[in-house]
Amino acid sequence: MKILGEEEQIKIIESRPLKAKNPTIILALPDVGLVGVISAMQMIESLEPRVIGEIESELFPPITIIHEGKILAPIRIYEKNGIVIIVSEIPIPTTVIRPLISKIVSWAIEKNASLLLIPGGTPSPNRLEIDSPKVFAVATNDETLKVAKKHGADTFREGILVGPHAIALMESVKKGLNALSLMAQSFLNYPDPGAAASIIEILNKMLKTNISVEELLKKAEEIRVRTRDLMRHTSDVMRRMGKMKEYELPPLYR
Amino acid sequence: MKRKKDIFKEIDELISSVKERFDEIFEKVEREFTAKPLFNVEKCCLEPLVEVHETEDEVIVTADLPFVRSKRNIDLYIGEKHLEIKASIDKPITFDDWDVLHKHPPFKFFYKVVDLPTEVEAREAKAYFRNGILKIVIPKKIRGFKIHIK
Repeated sequence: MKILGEEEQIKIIESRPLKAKNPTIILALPDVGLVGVISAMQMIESLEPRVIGEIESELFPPITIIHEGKILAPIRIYEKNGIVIIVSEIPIPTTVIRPLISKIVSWAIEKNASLLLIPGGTPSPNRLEIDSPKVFAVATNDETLKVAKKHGADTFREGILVGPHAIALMESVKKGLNALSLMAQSFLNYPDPGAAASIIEILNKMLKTNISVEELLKKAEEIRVRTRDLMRHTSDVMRRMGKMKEYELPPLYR
Repeated sequence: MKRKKDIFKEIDELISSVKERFDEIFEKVEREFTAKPLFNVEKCCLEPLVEVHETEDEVIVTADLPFVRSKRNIDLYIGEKHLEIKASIDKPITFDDWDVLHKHPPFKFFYKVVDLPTEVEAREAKAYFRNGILKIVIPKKIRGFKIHIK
């Protein structure tokens, strides 16, 4: 009997073939302020991409999403005009984050992705006083970082990353994938559509899309009400993975 | 000598793998047995997301209150060990496109009783409300007296 490793227990199922030759892959997993997921959902609503696949595993919670009477996988893959969006509507258990992201990075390389883009939030203790959240960028190469800065992101110079961003960047470095994390100043434990709007503004410039920020901000309160449960469960996961370390100063290593 | 190091490395890996498994099990148990819904159908109210932080001399509570328009719509009651938040929602919230329990009542307010981590000076609490986020800063009860060093 062969015992499968955790990564082998995760399956990326392509229900339709990927059209793009060198796609930009956007990876949105529930994390700080649900910023990545809210940004991705707004992109999906605006671009209307088609579902091309899903990610399945017995390691995920036993959840199925029903939308307009149709059965949907909680982690879905969409594609339109060279943009691939991977979005999860369930919090990923701490022990599954690493194998899941490792699997996605390998899949991105197999699909000749030009960029793995991870939108999200960085917790800001003074978020209440911030009207226009700044977006910070970390990239696996200087060229990509330059592009992000050209379009309005600031460099994330020093700090600690914990969770999906941290693993996605490390796995991408290890496997040689071009990756970029965009993190907007955000509430840690409250859904933050305002932070997602800052991310969308930069994505619009980088990807030459026209996703409406006004529309997102108009329904911000509704999003905050509807995503409370996902936020609560995500907060539990973040607490377990030691997310509060992001408030800490990095160790000295020079 | 090299073999010894390998054994210690293996033991470390085994311990962290067991720890991960235990964390996973506790996570599942906690999620399945302690998570309550964030709404109360009978009382037509939603439970807000709340955070409680402690500094050396203060307890800071924040709450996410979307659709609450003004501080005049919020009632706060504070005791030595708990804080009660009640906030009227601007227009009642319905989840018409959702089935099961969410669908029925229009939810008219947020309500939550927050347990405070320590005894507080209730009379000295201060509250702020901005962009749908409520922040309450409450000084902790002083248990002793400051000693001046001569």
